[in-house]
Amino acid sequence: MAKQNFTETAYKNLSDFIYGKALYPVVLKNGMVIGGGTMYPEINFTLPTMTIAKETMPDVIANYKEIITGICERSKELQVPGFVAEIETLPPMTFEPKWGIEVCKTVVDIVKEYEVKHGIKGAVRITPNDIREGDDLEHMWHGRHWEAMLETFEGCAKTGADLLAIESVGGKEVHDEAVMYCDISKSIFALSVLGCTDMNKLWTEIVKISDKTGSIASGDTACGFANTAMVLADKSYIPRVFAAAVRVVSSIRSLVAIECGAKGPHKDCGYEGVYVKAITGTPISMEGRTASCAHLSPVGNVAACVADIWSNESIQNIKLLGGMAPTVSFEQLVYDCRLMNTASERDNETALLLRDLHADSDSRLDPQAYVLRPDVVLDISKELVMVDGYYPKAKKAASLAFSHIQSAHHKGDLLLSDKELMWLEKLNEAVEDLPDDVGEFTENIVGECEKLDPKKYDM
Amino acid sequence: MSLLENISVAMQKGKAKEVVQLITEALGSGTSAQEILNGGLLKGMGELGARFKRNEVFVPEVLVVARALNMGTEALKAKLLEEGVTSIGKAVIGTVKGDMHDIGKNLVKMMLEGAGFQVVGR
Repeated sequence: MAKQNFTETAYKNLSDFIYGKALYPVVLKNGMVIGGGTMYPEINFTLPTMTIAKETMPDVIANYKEIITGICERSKELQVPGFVAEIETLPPMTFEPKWGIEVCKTVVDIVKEYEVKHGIKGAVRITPNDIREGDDLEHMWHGRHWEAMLETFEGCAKTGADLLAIESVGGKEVHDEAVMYCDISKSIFALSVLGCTDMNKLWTEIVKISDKTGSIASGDTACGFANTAMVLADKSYIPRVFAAAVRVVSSIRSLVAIECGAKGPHKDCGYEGVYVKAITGTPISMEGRTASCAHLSPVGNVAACVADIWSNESIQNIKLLGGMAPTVSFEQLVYDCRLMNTASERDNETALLLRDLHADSDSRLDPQAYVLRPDVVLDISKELVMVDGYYPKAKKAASLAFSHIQSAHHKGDLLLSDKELMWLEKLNEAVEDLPDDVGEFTENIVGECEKLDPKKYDM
Repeated sequence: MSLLENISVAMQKGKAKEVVQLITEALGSGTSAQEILNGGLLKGMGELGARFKRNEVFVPEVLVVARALNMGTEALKAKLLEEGVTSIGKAVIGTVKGDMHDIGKNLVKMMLEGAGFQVVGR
């Protein structure tokens, strides 16, 4: 399949860039249309603390049965128009693909059963782990780890998963160090050189599996990169301006999935999905306030502005007063979606008002929220598509993030501490000092990356 | 300022090369390795740690100082052994195999190394 190259943004007008509607909706086998005007909840869940091994697999399966049955029942009770259930496998389920496939089959079968018996429309997104790390990793694109991942994808697709996704990690070993030292050059290298190269290889294979099986190649997330930065910034370990810039830069990496043929919805924890939507017009999943069961974020409301499905990130299967936690979390998502859908049904102005309230309620308090504002996203995206090449785009993305943050602060639209302002200046200067040529950049930086084994990337 | 104070100040600025140079100077002037470690290196690290607790600096600034501390203790190693000063201790660290969210473990590892522990773990 020929790679797509996005030289202009899909969205031209801010008033068209809104939640629930994507220019290129994704139609599922059961008729659900993601990005077709209706916001759907995407429920994600995980096991309580337990061992995953051959002996415990019956308990593992029983947990997943309990989780998805509870969700389907609540879906019936709340007259949900449709939902997506995401299974993020746990590492042993990708190291042993048959376990991941069995879990997927369990969930798919129950979702389909409810569809046939009760007319509940549900879809399953499978997200195998990217297990390519550790001393025994032979290579990023061949060997035991790579094979196990692809086997899990294909087996789950054949068993009926509707959507294929991953939180890929190419370049993460370098990015971790970049985050710890707030080294924007290494971050750009990890995301645009290592990350984009890896995304091209990985998503070409995922799209092939999609073509072969009929499952939809949906999208990736920069979770291991930008969310790591976000969590550390939330703990005041690193500057928020750094995390905000990493978020914008990470969009260049996540976009590669769509260039390779993925159709969306982009994965929930990839907040950079808003840039992917602006540029490609494909639908996205997002998580915000209703994902506080999984982690703190400074973007709880702004994340909803242009989302097409609304997720909780993940929740453990433990008992709460209102039921098992995944069921309770699902109910919260359902009510969020109901409100957004009702605003859309009233008229476009009401929907836009809700979108803008979501944006305004967060964006003044944190630069990470500010760079997710629909107007900022569209402005930055329009400039990014004019740049050719992943590295130049990434460099531009960082630079644009800093200039928008700086300008918002000057206008009084964004609060920043003196400590943040000092880092903003320092990081901006570091980006300005980067060479234009990717070859020169790579040569300068590769020797400084202690944990990088270039041979594993054929470098 | 005394040499030990200079070492402490250079440490807090993360100036590793200057720290090593000052250590050589201090050893040359007869200061014991133990005094340099406690009155210079660890004092500097401690003061930065207090600033971090007060939310005045971020982790990257602490890690740069930890790196300077590592280089400083390396420069002192032979003398410390000569003086019979033993290592603070050994730490073993790890995380769940395959879990991509391992940065916390990496940070703790660097902090422990910075504080003078011998750390075993990936």
